[in-house]
Amino acid sequence: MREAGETVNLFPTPPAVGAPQIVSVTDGELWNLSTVYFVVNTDVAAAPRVCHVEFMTAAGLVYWRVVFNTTQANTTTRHYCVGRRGNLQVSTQGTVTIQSRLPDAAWLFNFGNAEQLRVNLVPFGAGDSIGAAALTYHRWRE
Amino acid sequence: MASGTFGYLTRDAGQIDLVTPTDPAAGVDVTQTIPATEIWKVLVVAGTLTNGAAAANRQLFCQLETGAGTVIWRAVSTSNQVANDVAVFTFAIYLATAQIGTPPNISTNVNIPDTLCLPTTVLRVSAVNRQAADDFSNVTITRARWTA
Repeated sequence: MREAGETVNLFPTPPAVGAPQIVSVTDGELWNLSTVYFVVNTDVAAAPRVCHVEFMTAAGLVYWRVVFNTTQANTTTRHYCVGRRGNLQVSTQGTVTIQSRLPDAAWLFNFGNAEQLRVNLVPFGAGDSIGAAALTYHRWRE
Repeated sequence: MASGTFGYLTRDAGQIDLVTPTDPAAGVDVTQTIPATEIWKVLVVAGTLTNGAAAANRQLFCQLETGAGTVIWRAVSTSNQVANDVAVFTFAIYLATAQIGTPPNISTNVNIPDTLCLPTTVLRVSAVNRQAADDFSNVTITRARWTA
């Protein structure tokens, strides 16, 4: 890891309706995440959703989590953006953007342990969907 | 899809300077494309938005997108800017966010993420509910720049 690494943008394919967005770290890489952006559409189920951005092991053990502190109502579209040293506020006009902050030490790696980034909703309605998403991270290769 | 193979560029501190995007006509966003041979860290985006008379609650935002318009990150103000307001705005890393002053003369601060802008991406400054007569002016971008 003595090299400078490189910054990349990643645009993961949206998951199936009702499923969280999961991005697996490429084998042999160390990532330091700087931004995550995504769009969430909720179905008619009434419960307010809380959105999480989580780092977890392949076995599903969450070891790091950002919880957005504004809930999303049913049948709405919200943009989410979490960034290192980023904005913490929630816009109120148009398609609302819910913003939060990543820690500087937002590390993920995969040296045989297949760590993952997950965008999740609690509760996750059967008709909820996570749409367009983008990640920016700096990576180093083994 | 991944992009970007300029990691070797970022081993030094880069060159810090100021760029002035093209002054757009009323009703048009500010856009600045990062050249294909450069990586930028955007430190500050500052300027003025002078609103027209159309009634609407504008909220300033700064976003990075691909050349095709896919959003990579977005930082949105939470303060309303109404008709005929003149807002001096500052987007910056680690900025205390607020809107101060007495309408129609106000100052708006918005935090942006600490990240790198890759070649061919587009930095856009706009406003939710921007109206046709709303006009951006005096926009400057302070950046750290690495060139291939």
